[in-house]
Amino acid sequence: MNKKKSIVVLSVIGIFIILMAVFALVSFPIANTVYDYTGYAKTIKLGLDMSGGISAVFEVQPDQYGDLDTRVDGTISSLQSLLVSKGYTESTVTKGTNSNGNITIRVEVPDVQDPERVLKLIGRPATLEFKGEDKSSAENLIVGRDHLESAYVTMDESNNFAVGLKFNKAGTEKFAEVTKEYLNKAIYIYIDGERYTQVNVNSQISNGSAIITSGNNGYTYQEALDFATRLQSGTFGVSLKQTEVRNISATLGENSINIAIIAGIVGIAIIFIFLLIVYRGLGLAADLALCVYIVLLIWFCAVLPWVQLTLPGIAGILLSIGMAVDANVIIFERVKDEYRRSNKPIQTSIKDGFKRSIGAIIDGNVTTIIGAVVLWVLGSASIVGFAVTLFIGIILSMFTSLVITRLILKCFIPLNSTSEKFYGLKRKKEDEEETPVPSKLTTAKEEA
Amino acid sequence: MTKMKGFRNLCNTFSVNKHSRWFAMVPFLVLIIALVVIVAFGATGGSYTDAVGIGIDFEGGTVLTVTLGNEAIDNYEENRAKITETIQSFGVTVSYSQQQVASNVNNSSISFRYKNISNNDTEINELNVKIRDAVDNLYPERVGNVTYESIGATAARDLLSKAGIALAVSVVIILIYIIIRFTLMSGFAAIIALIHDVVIMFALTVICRVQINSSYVAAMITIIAYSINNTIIIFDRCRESIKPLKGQKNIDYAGIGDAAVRSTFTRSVYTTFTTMITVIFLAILGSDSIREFCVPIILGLVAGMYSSVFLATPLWAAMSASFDKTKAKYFKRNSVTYDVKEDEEEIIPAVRQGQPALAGGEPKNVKPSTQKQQQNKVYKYSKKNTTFKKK
Repeated sequence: MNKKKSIVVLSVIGIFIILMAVFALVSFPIANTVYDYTGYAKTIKLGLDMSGGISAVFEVQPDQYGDLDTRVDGTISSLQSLLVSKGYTESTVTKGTNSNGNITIRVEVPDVQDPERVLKLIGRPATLEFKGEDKSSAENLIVGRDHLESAYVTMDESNNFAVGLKFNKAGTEKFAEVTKEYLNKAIYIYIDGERYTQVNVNSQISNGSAIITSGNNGYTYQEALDFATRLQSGTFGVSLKQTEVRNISATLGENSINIAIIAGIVGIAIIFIFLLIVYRGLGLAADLALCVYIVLLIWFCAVLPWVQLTLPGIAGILLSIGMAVDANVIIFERVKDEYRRSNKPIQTSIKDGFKRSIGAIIDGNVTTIIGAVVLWVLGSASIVGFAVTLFIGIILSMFTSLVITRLILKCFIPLNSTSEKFYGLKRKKEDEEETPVPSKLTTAKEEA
Repeated sequence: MTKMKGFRNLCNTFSVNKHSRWFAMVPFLVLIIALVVIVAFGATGGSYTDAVGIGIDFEGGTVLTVTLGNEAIDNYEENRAKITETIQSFGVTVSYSQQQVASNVNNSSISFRYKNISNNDTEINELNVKIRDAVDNLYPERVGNVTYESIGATAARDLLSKAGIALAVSVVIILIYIIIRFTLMSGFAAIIALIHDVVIMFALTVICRVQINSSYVAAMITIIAYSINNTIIIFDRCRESIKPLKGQKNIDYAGIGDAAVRSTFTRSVYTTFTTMITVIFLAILGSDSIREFCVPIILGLVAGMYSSVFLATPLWAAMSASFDKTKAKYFKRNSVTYDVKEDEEEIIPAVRQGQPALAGGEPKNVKPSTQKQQQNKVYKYSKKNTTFKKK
């Protein structure tokens, strides 16, 4: 690389960092449209502990079906997974008992201000029945709470939006019978005893999953979503009555997010200064690479749907920043070592330092990635957000330390290739004691 | 300068293997203290889950809602402090308090969550009624503004069981990965260090009397992810030193381990510092609940660094040495000629002939070996016999 090229590359990196930082923070109206651009850092979703949200309490209506507790538990887990599937990984669903002795289900959804939104998310819990005749007194063929597992938006063969149904084991058998009996006839969907819509059966379905398409042009996405949500809320095992909906404040206190940001900025500033003092020019390269890392991380957190930042999530980020710094420290210690114990020029020392630390960095990061992926796949809802943050953080930290730091250092070399002072490197002194041979041998003692 | 030199000398001679017994005792000491704390608090308080510090997320508790209208918004902090004090005078600890703004301002309220201190439903109810009446008396102008609802453990239990399964699976996969990339014994040593971190972090949390809530699970996972990374960096150096010695007998694992710990020590200290600094600021600036999360992480970082530097390496050295011995015995018993280069010298050649050592530097004079070493044909580890092939 020559001088000119390295100046160009460094400027590009600098401009990238500045632009990304500006777009993260600044909001402005977009010219000639009705839309506003909101800085992407501000669009990161926050968890209950950081920003509060909506709390809704539902009272479970006593009924005659028996074994209420089990069905309440089932409802809680389906509510939970419903919220997770809509991207609210940090919402909580808690069972309780109110002063009247009735069982309650408390749903808390973070980062939502409009109470209506919660109802849109979880639907209005209701009874769902499929009937063979267009009469509310007609016999139930399929009952939502007994037979249906989930309803979701999907696509049909011609790529129109449709509503997908998935039945449980009992439901699969029942639905196969029903579709056989009612082949090419209509069945009616009743919600809370009122007819919601009618559906024609086009084929016998015995595998327990079906899709409902609209006759002519297919549903719009919104129609399909509303339909699916209505059906989904009919799968709950119990009838719920909403008793209160309130906005709640952050559990960690109103200014917890500001505290986290201040702590982050102070901590990162100290890390930057620390790297500059200890590693000088190398540290400068690491600082620049860390800037790239931070803007990219914030961008990913804003863009990916599973990220709902909570205190643990922030810890995941801090940890990955720590690991990003760590990778740089490992490399620089190697570079120092290479330079100290040989007569290599600075450029070669840097190259060899990178080469010899790659193994350690990759192995160390892969183990953490394994942990993050397993948590992502197996962990419960609130762990998923943490696992995703950690995963992005580690991938980015590997990328910035192994690619960006190296690139920046490559650019430094043509500008300054010999200054020991700038790179903070030293040759070994003649009289300096090298690591002595270990004097005691535990293996020998054990064998004796 | 002399001080600096003293430190460097310490860095050059320090051996984790020499004192491994002492290092191994520290975690046991911590465990014993934690047990004493649990028993002491459990015996006096009557509840062992309290003694351990299990919080509302895992145990369930009560939500007390105090409707105050505008007061809940305008004088939030003041009212919150007043009510919290009243509630805590009954011997329960408020875990969270929250402002709740209703669309009708008159219904706005503050809610408090506290953990039940008994398992008996009637007792819980009696206490809740008492607390409700006491809080109600604080606001004589408002009637019936306090309601309570007892809540079960939140999804925390589910979280815990799923996190437990996920951790077990990831430990197994990580173990397999380390065994493939390193050696069998490295894998076991790293996993034992990992288990140590989890146990010691828990013990330290108990000793520091920090409440254990659902964020604790995340804290623990953070530490596990971090600590394994620390251990691997040291094992990487060991792997590098072992490479040229492969297949030889009586390798000085302890010496190699010491050298690896020494050469990565600066890095271990720097990294722990840079990771800890942000968490420390968060703990200093943050509220009690934030501290509840940060303190375990700080404790875990200390435990993680301790285990990777002082425990994993000696463990690896001891296990590898005895594994080699068992293997040799097994081969002897089966009278298979063990394919080992019998070396007459007690020290393998400093630099293999015609092959420059990448480590460079001048060859050091080797101290005269003792009688004991000669008998046992132990390969001393030194920087010089670490050679690297260049591609």
